[in-house]
Amino acid sequence: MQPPIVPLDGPSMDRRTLLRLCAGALATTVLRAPRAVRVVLAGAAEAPLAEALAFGVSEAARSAQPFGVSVTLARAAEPGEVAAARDVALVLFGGADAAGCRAVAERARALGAVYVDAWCGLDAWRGRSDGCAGHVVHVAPSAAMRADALGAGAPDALTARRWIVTTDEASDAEMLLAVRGSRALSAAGATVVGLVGQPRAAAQAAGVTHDAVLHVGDAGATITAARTDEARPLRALGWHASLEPFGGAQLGDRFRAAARRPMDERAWAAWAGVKLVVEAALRATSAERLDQRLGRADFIIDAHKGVPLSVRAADRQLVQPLYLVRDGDDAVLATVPRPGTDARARLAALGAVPHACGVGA
Amino acid sequence: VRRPVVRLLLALGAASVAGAQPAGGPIVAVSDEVGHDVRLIDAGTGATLATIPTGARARGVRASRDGKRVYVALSDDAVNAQTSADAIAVVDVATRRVVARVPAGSDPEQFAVTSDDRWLVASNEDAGTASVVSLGDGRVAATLVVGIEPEGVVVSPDDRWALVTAETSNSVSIVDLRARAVVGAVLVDPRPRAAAFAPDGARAYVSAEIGGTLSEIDVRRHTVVRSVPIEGSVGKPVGVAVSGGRVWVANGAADVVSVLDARTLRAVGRVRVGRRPWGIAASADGRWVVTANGLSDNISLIDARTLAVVRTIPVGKRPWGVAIVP
Repeated sequence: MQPPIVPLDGPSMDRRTLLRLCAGALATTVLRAPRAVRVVLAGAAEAPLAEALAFGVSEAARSAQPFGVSVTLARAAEPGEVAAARDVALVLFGGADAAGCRAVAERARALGAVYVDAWCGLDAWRGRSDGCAGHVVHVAPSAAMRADALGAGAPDALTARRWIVTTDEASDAEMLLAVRGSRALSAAGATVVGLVGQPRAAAQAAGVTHDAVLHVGDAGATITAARTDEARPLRALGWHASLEPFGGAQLGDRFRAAARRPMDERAWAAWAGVKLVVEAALRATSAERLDQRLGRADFIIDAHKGVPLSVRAADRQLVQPLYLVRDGDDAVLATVPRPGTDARARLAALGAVPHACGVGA
Repeated sequence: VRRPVVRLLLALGAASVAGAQPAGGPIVAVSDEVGHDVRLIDAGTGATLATIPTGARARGVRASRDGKRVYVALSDDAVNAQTSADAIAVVDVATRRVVARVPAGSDPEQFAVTSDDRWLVASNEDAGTASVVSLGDGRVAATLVVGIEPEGVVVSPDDRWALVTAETSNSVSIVDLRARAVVGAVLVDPRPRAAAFAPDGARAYVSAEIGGTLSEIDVRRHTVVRSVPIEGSVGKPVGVAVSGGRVWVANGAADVVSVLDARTLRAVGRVRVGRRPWGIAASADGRWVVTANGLSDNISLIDARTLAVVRTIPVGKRPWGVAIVP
């Protein structure tokens, strides 16, 4: 027989009764978990992005409904118009440019909300520590991820072995990305015969023999790879409408049915961003904030890329494979990282930057 | 399309092949996604007994409990479009012919049949629904909203419950087959694929391909009892079967079947099979396990006692599902 347990200020109770009470208390705390997620698109946004976000909210709402969690979408003309809400997990999207994304993220911080960066990327916070703040999650790939992916995958995809790496100008931002791309090319077995902080024409004028060029332009906003005999460059994208494996075809078909257009990387990022935060809300414990769950190493989601995706704690980047696609093509040439041994380690390293938001960030 | 299936089978005078199995292995039905057919294989000898054209993409496959019929899920090659190709084909094992096509909603992928062969539950992947179909008259008795991208379907041994996994929603919908209604859902790890009931029907096991786990579900309480990593969480578990006190998990990416003790969910073995094992089935007597290996175009027959592959049999162009014919 189990000995009775005597509480400090009450009658004695046996172990079974105590366990029942504990179970009841646990059920009560589970019920206190967020029962509603409100997604707000703040600031001006192109219609296709708003439409993609609505698609993501629609799907997430349907997935969450059986678990008693509602997911709704609202619009706010300006970030300042977004109001705080009690007992609701508030999630902000939006920002038409770098300054706009930072403004929406700042509003999210002020409201205790989460900001999902679906369309800017970490580079919008270059040199600023708040880009890696706990309330932010970057679904859009960073320029470093794109440079790494092109360097790792383009030599095989383009069957090009001798590369030069060029930039529009010799700015720090472009040169850092050029160095990253150069290292990734070398790691992939290519030979980098020149790294020049100047346009491709100047490199060619210098007489460097090469068969492909990795180019960084627009302060890192444009990163391309191209064979010298092919005008159409290769880009590293977060999604492409032609993707079929891992349920990609089904996702693309559902989006096409809803939006009457193919799913591109920005539409995917909107959909995946909503899925990310709603799954975090569904799985968060009562003692856990949404941003805490998002940053947990064991919190993973499936977003039709064939591998578990997670948020890197250091820079709040959703770590994800990228797809190499030539301009104008309707098919993916390569996926980076390629499946195989140490694919997870290579994925984790994609775009990883020491002190991405500055030393001490 | 709506011909009464049972009456038709009686008229055909279908004879059972039950009891005709060779000592060296069971009769196996294998669906071929690309070859658009279903094959009956004598796994004891490796001989193909019949190749039965289905005229459409053949995926999920089940055998009736009496071994007289094999059911095959058919759909067209294009998604998001319900066509006349979308159906469950009924194969008469004795005559080795498709004797009926039962409507089962749009794009049926996987399904399960009640033990009395009266009801069929199919997942409709692109519609996000599950269809409950009367096999007697081909009537769709209920179209149930489940999670997004439904896939795996299993019916409890007492025919009371059906579970439907949803790959995008990460959920398992629990269907009360008496009420023909969804009565609950369980959140599981990312990308749940297949499910299998424990013999007592109280627990079920669900694979999560991206989560890399197997979850044990308490069916009445609608809760996850526990989840365990498969192949050190680097596996990509897809198909699941239960027999002989073990849970058999097909790992599509690792080309192995993971073997777990059903009580403890501890790994007790692993069996290397063909490339990308997908469908998996276990014989009711716990003697055999079979996998359909989609990328090596063959099936693997596993001796459940020794955990050895005793025969690898070439089949078709892309074997998808597999069922052991009692």
